[in-house]
Amino acid sequence: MRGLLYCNFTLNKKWFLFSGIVATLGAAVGAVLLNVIDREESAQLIGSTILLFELVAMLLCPEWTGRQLESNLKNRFANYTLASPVSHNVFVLTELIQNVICTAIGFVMCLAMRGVLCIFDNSFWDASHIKLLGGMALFVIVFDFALTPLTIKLKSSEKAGAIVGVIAGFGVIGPAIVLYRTLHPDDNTFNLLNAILSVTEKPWFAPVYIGVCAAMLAVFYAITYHTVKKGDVC
Amino acid sequence: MENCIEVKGITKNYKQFSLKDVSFSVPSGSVVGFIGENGAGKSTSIKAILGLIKPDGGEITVLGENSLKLAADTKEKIGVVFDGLTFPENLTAKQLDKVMRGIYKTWNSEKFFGLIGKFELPFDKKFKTFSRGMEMRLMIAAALSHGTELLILDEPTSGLDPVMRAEILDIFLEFMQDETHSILMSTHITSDLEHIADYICFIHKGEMIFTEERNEMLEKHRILKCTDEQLDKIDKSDIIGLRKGRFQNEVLTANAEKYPDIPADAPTIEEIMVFYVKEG
Repeated sequence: MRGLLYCNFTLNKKWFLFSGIVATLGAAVGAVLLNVIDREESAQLIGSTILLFELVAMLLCPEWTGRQLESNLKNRFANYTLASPVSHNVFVLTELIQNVICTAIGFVMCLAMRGVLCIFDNSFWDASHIKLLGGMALFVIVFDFALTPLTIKLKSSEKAGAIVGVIAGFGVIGPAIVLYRTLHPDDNTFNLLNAILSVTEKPWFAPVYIGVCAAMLAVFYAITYHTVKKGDVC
Repeated sequence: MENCIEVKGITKNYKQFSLKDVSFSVPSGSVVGFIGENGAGKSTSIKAILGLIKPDGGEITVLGENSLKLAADTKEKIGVVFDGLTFPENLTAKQLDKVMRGIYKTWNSEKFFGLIGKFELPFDKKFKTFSRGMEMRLMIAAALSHGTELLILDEPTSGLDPVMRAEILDIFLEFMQDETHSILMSTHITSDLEHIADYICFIHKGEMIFTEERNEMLEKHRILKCTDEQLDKIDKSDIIGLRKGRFQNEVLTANAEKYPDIPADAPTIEEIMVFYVKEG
């Protein structure tokens, strides 16, 4: 596993750089917005903009894991690896660990971005937002790991990303709308950030969310392991 | 003599191609040439031997273990060279050494760098700048740097010029100086096997045509150079392959002694392969 991790991290530093650039840009845009427009009136706009930058910065870090897997399938390094003493289990586990490490780096980038924004408004560094970032990181790990068996099957991380993206989009936004409407029957408007925040504030949310994510990781681990064990990955 | 690889009746069905009841073995201490035209099933068989695909039927034993359940310690003893570069092209030899140290317990950096130096490969250049010959030497250097006893080579010389091919074959001969070492080498360049192979396995359209000791195979087969009248007298069951000419016909047979009046030439491995495929 050490060898594979070294290999993949050596090859793909540029995505961390891209993530860093987006986080820096997010901090800059956030700083401008905080100083130029009225905070009371535009809190929603600022919050959504920052959240968008955070999501992109966090997604960019593990972006290369799928691309690297695709490249390893195309140049048959995956076959070479599986013919070496690397077991199927270690192969799959390495993919998962890469996702976790990369997303953790993305999480740190987002924290740094928020740290900078605290200079202008210290409400950016509160527990609920950090928790939201943590939840987002967990979502990114599940999302990226869910791409692995599809990338192996389709030999294309982009196609896998598109398919899982559509499913995850409907899978997150759909239930968020339903939950928000259920919790707030009088509110006919829908704002994704409000919906997410209002759902995440519930005490039962964190354990349920973590449980669902853990279950999904276990399911995708089993699917990926089965796909690799079945053979013909390259 | 023990067999380091035993393939028993494997089948594998794809939409447009099937391996049909393929059986052969690689005796320990020998070089087995695995020949056949492109798409004959050589690479699929090699993938099955390495446990990279699961055959639909049959069984494969590698170094005494089922190919689908090879222990990590057994895999340490198997060196693999696929056709072309199978390492990420943005790595350098120095980085590859670090990667391999994390993959093989028995990885020997000193030996690897020794071979890199011997093969005149750069240590710090990315593999994407390598020529085809350099890529193959790199692959071989990696395959020989982890206590390898069995080398499995899938078309290691394809696309190389004759000088480079000769150099690479010399490396394999050096590897075979240790009598516990064995090589299974798939190729469609049969001339590479003339001096190196002890046994020849010939696969065609997913079916094993024959597995024979090289010299016996070359001794057994003859190309009869005959006229149309002489051709009529040859028993049809003795004709393995026929090449009709304007003035002379060529017949590959394994029963040349039955036709002492017809001049016969010793064939090359390539000619035998071509005649079998032509008739087949």
